[in-house]
Amino acid sequence: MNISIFEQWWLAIEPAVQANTLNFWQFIYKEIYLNVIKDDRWLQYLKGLGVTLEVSFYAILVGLVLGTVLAILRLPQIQHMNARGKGFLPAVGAVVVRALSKFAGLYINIMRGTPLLLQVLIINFGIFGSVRIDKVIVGVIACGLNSAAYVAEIVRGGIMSVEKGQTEAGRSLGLGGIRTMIYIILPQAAKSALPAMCNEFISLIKETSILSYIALTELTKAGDYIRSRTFSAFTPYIVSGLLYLLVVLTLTWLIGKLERRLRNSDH
Amino acid sequence: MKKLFALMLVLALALSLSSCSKKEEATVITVATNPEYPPFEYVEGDKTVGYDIDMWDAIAKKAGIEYTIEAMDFDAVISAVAANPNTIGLSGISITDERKLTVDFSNGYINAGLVVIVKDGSGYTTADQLKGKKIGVQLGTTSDFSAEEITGKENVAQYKTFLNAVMDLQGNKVDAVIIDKPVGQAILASLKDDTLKIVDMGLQADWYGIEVNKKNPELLKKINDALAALEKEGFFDELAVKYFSAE
Amino acid sequence: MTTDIIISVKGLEKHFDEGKLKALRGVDTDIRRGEVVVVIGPSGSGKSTFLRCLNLLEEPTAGTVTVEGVNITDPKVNINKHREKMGMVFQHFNLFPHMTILKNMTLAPCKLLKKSKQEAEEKAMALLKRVGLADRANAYPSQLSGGQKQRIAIVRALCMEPQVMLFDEPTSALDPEMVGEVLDVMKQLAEEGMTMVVVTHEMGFAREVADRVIFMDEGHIIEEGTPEEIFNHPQQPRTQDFLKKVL
Repeated sequence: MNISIFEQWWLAIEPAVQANTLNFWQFIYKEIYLNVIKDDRWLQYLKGLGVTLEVSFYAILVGLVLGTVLAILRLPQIQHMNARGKGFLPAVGAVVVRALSKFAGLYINIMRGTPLLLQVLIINFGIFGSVRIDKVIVGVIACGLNSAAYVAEIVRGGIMSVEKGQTEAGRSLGLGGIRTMIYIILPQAAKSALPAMCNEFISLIKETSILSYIALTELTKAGDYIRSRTFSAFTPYIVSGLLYLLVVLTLTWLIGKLERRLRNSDH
Repeated sequence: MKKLFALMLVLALALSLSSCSKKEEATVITVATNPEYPPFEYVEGDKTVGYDIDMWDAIAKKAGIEYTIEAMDFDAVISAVAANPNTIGLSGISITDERKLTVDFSNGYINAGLVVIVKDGSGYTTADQLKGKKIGVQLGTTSDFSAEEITGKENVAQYKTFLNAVMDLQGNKVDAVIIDKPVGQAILASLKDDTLKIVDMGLQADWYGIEVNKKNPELLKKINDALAALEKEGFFDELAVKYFSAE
Repeated sequence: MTTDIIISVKGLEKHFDEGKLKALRGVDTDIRRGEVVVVIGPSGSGKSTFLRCLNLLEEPTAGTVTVEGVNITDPKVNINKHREKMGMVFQHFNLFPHMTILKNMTLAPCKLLKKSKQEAEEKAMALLKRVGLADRANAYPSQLSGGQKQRIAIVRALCMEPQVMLFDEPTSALDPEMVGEVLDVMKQLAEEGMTMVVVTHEMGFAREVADRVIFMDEGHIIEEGTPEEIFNHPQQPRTQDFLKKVL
């Protein structure tokens, strides 16, 4: 029978494992073999990593879109919006907009003021209590809704950092409020918000580990799974941790590159 | 301000001294357990109680072991035992060959059997019917291993606590939950949910053992000797009556 | 210059801070097509607020602004459509820093006048050539001097083919040596018959280019007339006082 070099090494140290007489290097190899190599366990980590990336990616998208909308609703000019003109429709319009703005504020406070773990459990066992739904979707919704609250504050800060003159220039050319926001304000807000946003993305990626509570096999859970089989003290955590680090470093590098490119274009 | 600082210094010294002296006393064994697993270990009032706890108390008395109980997550039980040879894991832990490569286990002290919780009216009566179905379990339990064999790794949803697994069964996110027989009976009794029912599919369970650090074979021997004596005395049956008399 | 009135202002008032600050206290005037009106006055006199009310960047508290026969203070009016016809140049240029010069100039025409990208760029390039900045088309605003930025801001507004140009202290933020190049562009524009309303401290420009000079103080028009009348024969003591200080 053909056995791999890893199996051969394992067989070589197995007597020492049984006799509990491993030296340091043999111990290291035992840990690696049991927690990474045996039964193709490295695949488990990679699958977990895939789920973590999938959930993080979509949650970031949800957070960005919803967060931007929330941020705009929280702008002073929306919060204190007055009816433009007299009559029923403008009055109702202004009331609705102000109510939405209040709701956005409440939403942000609740989402930032309660632990993500509770939100995940409530969404899984409460809101989707009797719905057969893919856990990845539950994870995307829970993490996305939570992230949106933080993104909202970051984007709002970014928007407020753009000079008022930029809005006036856009409006004076005849661009409407929404177009001015999309083409002129948000791109500049995004630039100044980028470092804080990078932080938020990094937090989000790591926080998806909480989804292991609802039995989603993401990266942390993959480590937990292997550990529950091997009873190894911490080796699976190190492997998972290294993979998180790899993802975060890659993201940091990419965003740093983007930041430099944006910086070169102006100022 | 100076006085306050001096006071704090004295306090700190006293604390460090007392912790030193503790170590010099006769070894006190720390019992690491995850008391979310009735009737094996659970919290009643502010005390951790259960089948495992009674069993351990008898062992400790027999072997003359002093101990304190520390409640923690199941994940942390593994770490606690790995970190300190004077800590044992007592938490309905299944003895498996693979785990034996890393930690030691006492001889098995209970094999309570497995049952399956399903929705009433789902019609599942045999393990074969569960093939390819989503099965919820608590991660790392004997139920987990059994579920993997039945339905394949990718269809097992592994929760931190079996309670969450049962809740997802109520919410239709899994088709069945495999669970220790007494645990399943305990939870159904407390949930009072008549849409759920217990089915015995004759699944094979692992024996439970006490997890001991490989660096402490003396402790392991003491425990095993005590277990053998207790079994001979009929204590195992006594305890079974106390906890599993519902059968 | 014709007698055709393009902007008519009646009883214009603007209050800030819930009426605590009254920037405009009833301003009436007409701007005729092809006319160059220069508004002067001490700082805080309300001249900038007056200008910003003309395209509703400030919403008037009372009074009307009628542009080509339409009362634009009426909320039912689509103000964006009217702003398209009224170019505005700001003290601090307000170029879009994240876009190239060409993009700065073509954004609004492409979005609002439904021009093709090529059409808009051709027009923009022609204008850039006129102000001698064709070679900077692909530069970013941060790479330009203040004078260059303000010339770009002017041609950016011109890309929308406006009927009126509003200038809000266009040279106040410039280094002295760059004032001339901006004023030259404005003079050229005036010679071509553009209707212009200019708020400025450049008395030389007012004297040379204006058809009419308006002197404002404390939210009122104190005096208006030809440059000859205002600069050489001011009737009001406040005008005389102001001119004594600045000339």
